[in-house]
Amino acid sequence: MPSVLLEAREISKSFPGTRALDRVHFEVLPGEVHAVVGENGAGKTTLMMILAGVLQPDEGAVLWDGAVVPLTDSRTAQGLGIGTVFQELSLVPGLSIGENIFLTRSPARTALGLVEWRRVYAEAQVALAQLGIGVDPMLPVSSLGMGARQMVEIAKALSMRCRVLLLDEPTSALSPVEVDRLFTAIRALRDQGLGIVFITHRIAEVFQIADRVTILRDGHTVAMHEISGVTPDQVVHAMVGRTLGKATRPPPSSSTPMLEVAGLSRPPVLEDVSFSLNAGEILGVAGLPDSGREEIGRALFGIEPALRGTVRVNGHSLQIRSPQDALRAGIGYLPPDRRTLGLFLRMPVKDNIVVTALNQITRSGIVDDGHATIIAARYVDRLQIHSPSVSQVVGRLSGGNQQKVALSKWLLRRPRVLIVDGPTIGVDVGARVAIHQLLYQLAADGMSILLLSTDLPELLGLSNYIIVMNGGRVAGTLSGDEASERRVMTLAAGQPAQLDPADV
Amino acid sequence: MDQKPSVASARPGAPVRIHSGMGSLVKLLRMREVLLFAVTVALSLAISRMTPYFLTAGNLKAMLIGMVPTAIIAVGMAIVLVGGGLDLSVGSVMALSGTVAGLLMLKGASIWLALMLTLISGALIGLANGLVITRIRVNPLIATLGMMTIARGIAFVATEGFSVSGLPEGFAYWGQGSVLQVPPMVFVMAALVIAGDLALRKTKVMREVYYVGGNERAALLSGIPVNRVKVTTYMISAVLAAVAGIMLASRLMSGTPTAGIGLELNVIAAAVLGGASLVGGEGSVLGAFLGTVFMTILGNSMILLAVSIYWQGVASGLVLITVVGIDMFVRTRRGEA
Repeated sequence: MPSVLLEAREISKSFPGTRALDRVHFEVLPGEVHAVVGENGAGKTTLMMILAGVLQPDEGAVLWDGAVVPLTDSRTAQGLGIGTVFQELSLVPGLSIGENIFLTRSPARTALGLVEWRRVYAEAQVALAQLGIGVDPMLPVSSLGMGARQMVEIAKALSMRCRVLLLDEPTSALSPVEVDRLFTAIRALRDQGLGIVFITHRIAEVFQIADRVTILRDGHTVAMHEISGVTPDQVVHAMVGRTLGKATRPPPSSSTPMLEVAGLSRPPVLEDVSFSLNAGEILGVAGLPDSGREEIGRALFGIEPALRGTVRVNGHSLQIRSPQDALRAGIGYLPPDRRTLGLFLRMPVKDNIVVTALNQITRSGIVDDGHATIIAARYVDRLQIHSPSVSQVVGRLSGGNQQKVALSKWLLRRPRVLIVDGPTIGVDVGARVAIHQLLYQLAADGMSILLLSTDLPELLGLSNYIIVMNGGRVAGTLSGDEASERRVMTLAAGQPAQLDPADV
Repeated sequence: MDQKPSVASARPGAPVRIHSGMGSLVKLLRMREVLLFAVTVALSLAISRMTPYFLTAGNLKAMLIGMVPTAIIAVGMAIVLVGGGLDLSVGSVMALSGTVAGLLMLKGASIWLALMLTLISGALIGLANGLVITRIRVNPLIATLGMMTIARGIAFVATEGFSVSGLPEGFAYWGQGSVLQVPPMVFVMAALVIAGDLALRKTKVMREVYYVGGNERAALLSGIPVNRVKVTTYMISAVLAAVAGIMLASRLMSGTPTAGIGLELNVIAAAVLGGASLVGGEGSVLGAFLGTVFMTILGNSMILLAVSIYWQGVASGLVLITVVGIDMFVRTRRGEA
């Protein structure tokens, strides 16, 4: 058995309000694909950041070739031979593939200190060939699709002569075809003796590609298995750890259309989008970045109003040109980025909650702060927001608690239709479940919810129906029962749907 | 909607405390207004030991009258700063308003009509500032810098550079009359400061200003009419600058196109001393007023102590940086900044 290449021993890491990792153990051998799975917030990305040298552990040690190494920054990690491909690709679209691969360092310089471009492109070609792709390194990155960009990222890591490759959810934005291509490349690299760390929350992929799997939950290592000695169900159970009161989709409670959208257009980001959402239903909207998924929310809430199309709420036809129009019509919107769009970070929890209901706490123009405090305390209690007081500045809460505060203002307002965009991005497992159950509860109480998300388990778990966006159009509609990750991704990638047209 | 939904959380919810446990005294001491008040009292005590002329009725009255225009403008500046804006045009608008009021009276308008028209012209200037900033999306610094030179320029054009004098006797009431031993303009200032402070703390309209300054995009997505709120703040600021211009003209019995040059920076400094932040969302009218008081006492003391007038700028600059610096240091230590 080969010796361990990279090892994390008893690693702990805390952020204000959360213990992201608690004595986590992880190792990777040369010539293996070692998957790390866990729910959002389980600590996968934090572990990866530590192995990449971006974050430093509070306790514990990282070992390279059996010796403790201080990974003080990402350059040290790269120097050792740890290559990283982050979820957010770090390529510069305007530069060529070769320039991107050698962005942080140039392979050689002439006597005058100028970059030897011929060698740059030659070495880029070698790195790309290692992945089995024969694309011209002089092409700009902007001309590539997501899958090819992912490959360029990997080539960039390979060109640094890495021996361990960290991949953080590399398949999240890829089509099934691109995923297959990526897996072929990963197997080739593994056979060349690289140790590959594959972080994901997609269990199916683990069983396609990995040799071993480490399962994280709430910052703990709960298990490590040879893939041959474990079943997908066992992995899921270890990941979730408890009977989650798993969020289930609400039963279709009524057939009263609450939100009817027809021909909504804002070319080129939205083209002729039509759908209908009944009272008490959750309609999921899936789609890759720039597919029109987020734009539906922005158009319906009047941030970037649609240029054509009709919108009816509760049977009344409306023109929505601004967020105020949308609010008056009974539409609420939880934006995807709570820190820049959803919250007043420097203001107290209280003010963040009552902002949508100033009229409720105002008597003849004067704000009743005592009343505001009582209302806010009620929501802090109801949503179990962990905050020392309602006067606490919201920016100091953890991500999950911040998101609950952002949601509270919409609970208080009680819109007929609530649009939520990425409601559980960057929140911990507990808050994720709480938010899902809250959405479920709201729907059960009769609210109509439009759930925009890239998180497939979330979409599949909560939605009565899912519409899948591609190129600004509705690529297909799936009922909750027929939807699967594969079907959603196939539609999202713009491939012909193998669907009966009757249910579109 | 009070009933508890079946939200199962991983951990039991922490009990909610409505008021923070720090105690109201500690909270009080954290407020910039209290700090500034204490520093002002300390400065006054120190000066009164150094010179017998400081704590005299005459000197106190002179200071009070002298600070009226600045203090009135500071009310509006505090509101603009809380909303995340900046208004550099206030000094020029003050000068323009004094000359406009004077010219209207010389043309035969009654005092009241002249004052009404002056206030309306102030409101229009504020509207112009607000619309340029919200509709054309010109940066507030640039927009009001432009308005600063435009308003000053109009004042010079209208008067050909001379002060407007020979104003009707009745107009002297505000600046030279006497109610309880001081000119009525002092009461105008007091009323505006008190009303402004209460409004900014308590009214719904002004609460929206805090939200806009706190995070403009979040305010928009929460349904706050951001543009309308911003335009309102610039209109308030300009109208108050017009009031200050009227008061000053009444005191001097002339409208001077060169009045208030550089005043905008002193007012911003006073508001920032009082806790306003240039990134918005923080500040109070009381704080801006106390900042004005402090700057006035500082300037006055240097005159009494026969320090060269040229040192005044150095001193007020040092004080500004020191007070804000201490505050930032404390906040950083508490982890808020």
